[in-house]
This record gives sequence, C-alpha cells and structure tokens, in this order.
Amino acid sequence: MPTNPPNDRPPVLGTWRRVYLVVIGALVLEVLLLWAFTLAYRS
Amino acid sequence: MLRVWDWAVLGLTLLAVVLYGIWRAGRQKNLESYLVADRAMPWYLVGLSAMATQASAITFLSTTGQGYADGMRFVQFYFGLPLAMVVLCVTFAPAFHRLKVYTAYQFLEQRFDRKTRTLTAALFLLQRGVSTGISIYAPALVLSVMLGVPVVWTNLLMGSLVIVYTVTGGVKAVAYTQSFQLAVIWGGMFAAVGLLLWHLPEGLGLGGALQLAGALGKTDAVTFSWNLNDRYNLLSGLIGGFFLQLSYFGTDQSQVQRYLTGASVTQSRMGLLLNGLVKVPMQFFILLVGVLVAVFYLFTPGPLYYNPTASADTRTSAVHGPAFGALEEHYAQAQAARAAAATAYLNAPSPAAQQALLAADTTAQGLHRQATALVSAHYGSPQLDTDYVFLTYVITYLPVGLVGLLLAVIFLASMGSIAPAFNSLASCTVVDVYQPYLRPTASEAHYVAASRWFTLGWGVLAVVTAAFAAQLGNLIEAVNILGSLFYGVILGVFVVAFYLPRLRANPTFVGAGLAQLVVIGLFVFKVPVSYLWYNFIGCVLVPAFALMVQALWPKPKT
Repeated sequence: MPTNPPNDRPPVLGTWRRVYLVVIGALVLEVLLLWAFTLAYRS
Repeated sequence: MLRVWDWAVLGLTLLAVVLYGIWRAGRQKNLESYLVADRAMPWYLVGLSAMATQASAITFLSTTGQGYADGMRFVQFYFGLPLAMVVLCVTFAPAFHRLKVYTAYQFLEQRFDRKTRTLTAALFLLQRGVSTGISIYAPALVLSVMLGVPVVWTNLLMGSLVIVYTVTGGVKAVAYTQSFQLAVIWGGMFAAVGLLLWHLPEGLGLGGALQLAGALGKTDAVTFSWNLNDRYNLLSGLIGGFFLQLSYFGTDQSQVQRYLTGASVTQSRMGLLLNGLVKVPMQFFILLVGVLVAVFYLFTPGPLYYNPTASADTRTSAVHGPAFGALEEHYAQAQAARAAAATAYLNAPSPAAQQALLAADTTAQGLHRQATALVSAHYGSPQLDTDYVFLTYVITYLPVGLVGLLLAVIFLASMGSIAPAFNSLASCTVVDVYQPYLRPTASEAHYVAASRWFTLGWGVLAVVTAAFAAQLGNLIEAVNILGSLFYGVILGVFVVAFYLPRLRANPTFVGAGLAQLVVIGLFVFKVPVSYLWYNFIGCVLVPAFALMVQALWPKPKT
C-alpha cells in the first residue's frame, strides 16, 4: 500500500482526509441538486 | 456555407493555439522534459489537461445530441468520477510519483515482472492506437459535412496541426495548448447558450424552456433502475462509472501522463480533484445546451434529418427520394402542430395539454425515425443524425464570426484529446518497448529523438486509420467498446499491485488472462450486460482468479 510522502500536506483544509470529504460531499450535493432538478421539472 | 469572417476566425484561432503551444513548450533536452514536463506543472494545468484530454469533440457533438434526443440522464455517467479521483489521489498518484515512472506500466514491472508490464502496455497500445484514428474520423466527418469540404481535408488538418505541436513540444505543448483550448471552448459554449436563450420565443426564458423540456421527459437528471442493461441511472453511474473512470484515469497512459507532470504529488492530487469537482457540472451544462436546442426547435422549424449531405443524397435518390420528400411535407405539418401544442401547454399547463404535447412530439419523432430508416436504407448501413443537431443550430442561427468560433471549439476539443493520445502512445512505445527490448543503453538525446519519431509515427498511423475509417463500418462501434473490454482487466492488475501485496506475479498474470477471456466472452456471446459493467467485472475477476491460481500453484522453493 502506498503511503503519503513526508511533508505532503494539502494547501487547504489541513489534511487530505478533509479535502477528500469535501470532494465527496460536493458529489452528494450535486446528486441531491440534480434529483431536486428532476423532481422540480417532472410533470 | 461559411462566410469569410467565419473562416478567418476559425483559421486564426487554430493557428494561435498551435503557435502558443510551441512557444510555451520551449526546448526539450531529455526524456524527463519531453515526456513529463520536468515534473514541474502546477495543479491547475494538471487539472485542465486531464479535463481537456477526456473532453473530445464528440463530447460536444454527441453530448449535445444526447441532450436533444434523450434529455439529461447521461449526466449520471459521470457520478463515479469524483470518487475515482479520490482513490487515484490516495493510491495511484503517490505510488507513481514515488517511483518517478514515465508510464503507468513501468510501475508494474517493479511490483510484478516484465511480462505483466509488457502485457498491460501492449493492451494500451492496441486499444489507444486503434481508437485514436476513430476519434479523429468521427468529428472530421461531422465538420466536413458542415463545412462542405471533403472529409480527407478536415482529417488531415486536425491530424497535421496536432502532429506539429506534439512532435515539437512534447507533453508541455500538449498541456499549454489544452489550457488555451479549454478557454476558447468555454467562451464559445457560453456564447452559444446566451444566444440560444435569446433565440427562444419572447417571454419563455430558461424557466419556461425547462418546464417544456420537463413535460417532454427531458429533464430527468437522476433516475433509479436495477436493470443491468440500462446504461444511465444512479447505480450504473456510481458503480459502473466509478470503475470506468478509475480504469481510464488510473491505467490509461493518455491520462496518467497528465498527472505525472505535476510538480509534486500535492500538485497532481489538486489537479485530479479539480477535475472531480468540475466534471459533473460541466457535463450538466453541455447536456443543458442540447435540451435547450430541443426546446428551440419546438418553435422553429428544423430539418427532418440533421445531416445535410445525407438528407440531400436521400432526397435525390430514385429509390428513396419520393418517400423522403413526402416525409418532409408531413414533418413540416407535424412541427407546426407540435409548436401549437407547446404554446397551449405553456399558456395553460394541465395533464391534458401535456398529453397533447407528448402526442404531437411522438408524431414528429415517428417521422424522424422513418426518415432515419430511409437514410440508413439509402447508405446500406445504420445512420444517426444526433451529432449534427448542435452544429446545424450554430451554422443556421449564430451570427457571423461566432459560427467560426464554435467550429473552432469542435476542432480544438478534438485536438485537445488527440494530442495526449499521440504523446502517450509515443511514451509507452519508447519507455515500455523500445528502451527495454531494443535499445537499453542509448543516450538521453537518442530517446528524445526516438520519442519525436514515434509521436510522428503514431500521428501518421492515426490519420491513415481515420482515412479508412469509413470502410470500417460497424467496426467503429466495436472500437468504441474496445476500451471497456480491456480497461477493467488492466485496473484489476493495478488493484492487485496496490492492495494485495501477497499475490505473486505469475498468478496475477494468469488471473488477468482468464479475466480477459471472461470479459471478451460476455461481449462475444452478447450477454445482456451494459458495457459500463465490463470494467467492474474485469477488475473484480483479476484478483479473484489470481487468488485461486495462487492457491493451486504453490510458491517455488528457493
């Protein structure tokens, strides 16, 4: 299993785990918004 | 036909992109510089390059056509991409950076052995080598029809421009031109949407357009289905899409090379995550363009069949011409009836008005299907016109100058995905075949020169393949599926490499071979499983077979 190189810190949010959670959270939000879009215009 | 100013904008944009790429690339003295840009690219260039590599001309032609004909549900195909980017950041990117490899397959020799590396490199060269020719031909054909020039010219123009800057500037020229290309592409697409909204009937606006699209079932962006043969739904997008994107970005050298150029693993990760954040909204936007074009043509009479050359050929045919002409007359009446039904629905939305609109649309669609059947019968092979819908709108309704820009968008999108293909095919040939097997001890200058020659060679081969693509007929569809046949198995080998350290080289090699046979069997015997699932099945079968083989194949005593 590869491990993170030393001193490999993301430029934002402090840890990579938090950065990944933001990306996954953004995906969840996108899916929810698209579902809302689907429901809003489905006749 | 195109006007002088459109030709000028198109020509100047293409020239500017090529010169910009060559200028920014500078000189390359060694392989590190030519193949991985000295591993010095910032995160935004890595991300833009990954995006431009994936977004081909077909993305803009077929996706808008898909939005026009089928609505928004294709967006689900990309739901797995952000998840795949996270896995790449955790596993693939750090491993490739740590070992400072030039190709993804080089990594496999360090983990397994040379034959596993050669097998995966050969699968990549086969798949990407053949499909690059097709990826030139498909947009070249559409552009030739819309520009009214022979396909051989659009094919040669695209291929030769890309060869010039890719051979000269290597991966740096590819990355810099891609950032320029994306800027032009997005400028053009936003302008197209603005004009589309402006061209809609007065007072309709975006809300009204979406209301109409919804009444026609074109706004379903999230759908649920357990049917494995249904290509685009939430489940297939998340699971099938995840494995497809992970295979593509993790094991296809044309993508791996983009994030190998990152200045550090942090820069590569940020670039990949940028791609993960932007991709779904970007695809939503492109599909929305197609949906808006569909709404536009509800009120504005459009052609019965959107490929103008195919329409003209069928109309003048002695056998199919009369029937086609009659269909065109009926279609004009059906469009008028559909426009009236759309107006009635907007004025007083009700289930009855919606049913009337759906019935009018079904009638028009039925006539279009009959026309498609006539065109297919005329050419003696299945034909579709969805790739021509967006450009028909552009050429017919956009102002002078902007038409040239939008055509440049399609050229640039195509070039942005072809250039990394040439670049990665040359890298893989030099690093995984030429250097280990043919010239293991040559100088850096020799390998750089060899890389340039192989880039030129793959470029010429792709242009020649594109020239004969019309004769390939149904093989084109098979080539499109080719990627999915191999990607999953290659991904399975990487999964074993990263996550199953106890599995040895020979069982993995045999497991990969067996898994490949099963996936090809699913395709050959037409098992009702969508091609999106081939990646998942191939990826899971490699470790499963490898574990079984290792259990039966005892470790040799040393």
